[in-house]
Amino acid sequence: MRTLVWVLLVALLVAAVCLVVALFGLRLGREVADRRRETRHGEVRDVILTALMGEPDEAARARADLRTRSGRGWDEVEDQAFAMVPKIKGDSHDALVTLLLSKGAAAHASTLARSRSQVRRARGAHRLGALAQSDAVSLLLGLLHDHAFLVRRTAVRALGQVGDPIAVPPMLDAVTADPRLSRDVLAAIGRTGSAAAPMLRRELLRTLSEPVDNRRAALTAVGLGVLGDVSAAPLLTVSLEDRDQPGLAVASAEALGSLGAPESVEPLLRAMADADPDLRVAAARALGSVGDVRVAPRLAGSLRDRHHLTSRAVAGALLRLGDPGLLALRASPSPYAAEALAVHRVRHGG
Amino acid sequence: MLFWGLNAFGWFFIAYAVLINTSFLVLTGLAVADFWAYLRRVDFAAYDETFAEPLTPGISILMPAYNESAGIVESVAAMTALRYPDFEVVVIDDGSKDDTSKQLIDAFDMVEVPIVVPVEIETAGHVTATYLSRRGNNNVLLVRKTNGGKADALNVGINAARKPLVCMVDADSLLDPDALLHVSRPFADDPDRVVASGGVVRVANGSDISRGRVTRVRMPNRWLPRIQVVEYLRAFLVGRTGWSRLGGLLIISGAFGVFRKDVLLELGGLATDCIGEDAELVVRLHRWLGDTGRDGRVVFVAEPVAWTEAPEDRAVLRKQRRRWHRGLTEILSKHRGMVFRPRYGMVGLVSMPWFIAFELLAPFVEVFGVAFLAVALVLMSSDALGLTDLQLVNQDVVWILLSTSLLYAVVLTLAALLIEELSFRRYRGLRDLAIAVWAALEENIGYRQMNAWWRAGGSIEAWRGTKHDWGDMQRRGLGKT
Repeated sequence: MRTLVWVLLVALLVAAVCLVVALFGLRLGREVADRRRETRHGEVRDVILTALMGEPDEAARARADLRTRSGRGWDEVEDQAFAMVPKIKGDSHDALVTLLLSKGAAAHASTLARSRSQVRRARGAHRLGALAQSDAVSLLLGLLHDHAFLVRRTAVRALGQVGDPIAVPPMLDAVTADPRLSRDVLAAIGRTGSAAAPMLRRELLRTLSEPVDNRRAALTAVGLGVLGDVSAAPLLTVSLEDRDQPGLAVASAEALGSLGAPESVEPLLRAMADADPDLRVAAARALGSVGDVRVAPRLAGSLRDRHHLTSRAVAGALLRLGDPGLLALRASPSPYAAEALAVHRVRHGG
Repeated sequence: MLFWGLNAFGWFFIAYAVLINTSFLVLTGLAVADFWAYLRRVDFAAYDETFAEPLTPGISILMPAYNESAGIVESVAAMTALRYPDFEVVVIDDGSKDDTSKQLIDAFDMVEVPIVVPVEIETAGHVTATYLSRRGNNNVLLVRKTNGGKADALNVGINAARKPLVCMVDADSLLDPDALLHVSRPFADDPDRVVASGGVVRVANGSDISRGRVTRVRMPNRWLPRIQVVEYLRAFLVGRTGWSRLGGLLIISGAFGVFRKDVLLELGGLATDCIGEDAELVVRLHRWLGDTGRDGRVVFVAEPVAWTEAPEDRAVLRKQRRRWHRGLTEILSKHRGMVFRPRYGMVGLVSMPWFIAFELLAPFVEVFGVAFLAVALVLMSSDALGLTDLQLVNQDVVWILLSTSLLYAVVLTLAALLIEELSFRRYRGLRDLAIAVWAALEENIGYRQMNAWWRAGGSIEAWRGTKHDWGDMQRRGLGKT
């Protein structure tokens, strides 16, 4: 018993002392390391910035200096350069990417993307995206099936940076398998730009004939709105009528609002009579965005909607319609009309 | 007989101390795993890109205020400067007797506007006026109402909120500039399942504060705040991260938590008959998820930080801790039906039993444990001095009890400090570290026992059912110390 007491006491005391020593050692060591790293980083940062934005002779010297670096010296340059790539644009961006490519950064990133460590794979994908080389697409598409969410997310973002529309269907497959990627896929579609639109239209058409996954369908519709693909308006007015896939009609209404397509006015007004309050809200907002002043009187009728968010959305839409909307609001006894007018006065005076 | 009785008590206290501290060691291990994963993914989280993304949900920040005239303008100004693409600040003046509203109206150039506040949640107080700011993005809304208590004020705020997410903060909380970006991230990542998300609360005393922002993090010199810094680190940062990792997070602090508005409406808002309305809401949320069979998640994000002013004198601290423990007692009594019910998952099977055994009952066990130790030490001393020869106490039991209850707790607090050092490293310099290590030691000598006494009083207050109020805290004021 006495032995047990001593063992326990000594063990806990030793643990406490070890922790205190570790704490002070870490604090001291890391602060010294931080200072050294900061000095090194400052020096490397200066050289990179000079290479990108310095006077021609200084820039040439700095680029030559960077090209001669190797081993750990280059690793530091590479780390900082990749951190800078997303933050700069134009010629400086292109010059930095060229520098990285000339030193074999793409091959290094590909090696990282095949690593056994998920953090390295994510870093590799991140770097491949920053370099935006189209020959990295197949490797990045493979990472969409990675077991680690972190890697899948980074791969989706990287595919958006590369901007190859061939990646759109696999990204939608990825979001079907894991809805957590929705936001990343939408961001990637937005970055891909109008080249992604035909793929999305084809996807939406397929979704309408053979429903697969609600989220995927809704995301496709929202994506078309994000891209501003006006040619998708007829298709979106069809998907606006879809009631088999929850969320698709709402997403279609939002997309039609983003497109501002005049032909969507009648379908949107019909949607205002739907039983789903979310759809009525989305349709009201879309009608405000489309901006067809002729809808003001019909829209004003919905200021008395039993769902208050719809009434507020309608009031907001009427404000966006300009004078006819203001007239309709002034004529309405709805408290949401009074609210919208008062907020309008606060924002615009008068 | 007396010998056996005393030693049986001793072994009971030892077993309790070992269980409570070991369970905390497990939570610490889980927190380490969570921090490790977080730190590895943070480089690729793309927070900056959030601004341009169409799926970023809007947030209504609710700030209930009651007699907060002294600091309300600075707090609201700091909120309006947060980095987030779509948010509004809703201040709910719960019938303040001072000039809280006037301060806001003057500072933010507010005008009375007939904002509709639908009664989706029934409230005791009623809205008397609403004001909108003419400055900036016009995203500051003041709702004046008749007094009804903090929970009632928050319920009015939920009714008034115009965004899909609702962030509840105390009127004196200071948020880090990126706090909303971080705490809302789980909703964007997993919108179908995440229903609530909480951020960590840290102690701001001693730190440099400018314009409602913590600009330089420092350890406070005064003994009560410095102990609370390490206490918050262990209990809030490490403990809650551990529970979140386990899927059994029972508490999101009222000082900084984000909820889906539609879920709050389904729940009927915050309970007004309960003192710990923030914690009660999360427990009720878990209950609702279990009863309706929905797959929902309540998560804790360790990076976004809300800074709060910890009490600096014993009277205020006593009041706070009694209130906290009274709240916990009321919540656990109200929702006792969830305990050991598999339908509530980890919360019903693990979290609630743990909170009953090691939070609710802990102060009583600790108070009796201290009494036992005192008696044992007196008897041992008396024997040692030759005044008596009773031999009623087994000295080994006393030493084991001291080791497992005090030394083990010190080790756990030091481990929490080490985790902080390896992860977020908010504090810098050897001086601050020395203060923190000293606080980890002194917490266990006097502070903990005093706390246990107050907390036991809180439970007794709850069982007696005495009246409670807003819990008006007298503060020195951040940045004015």
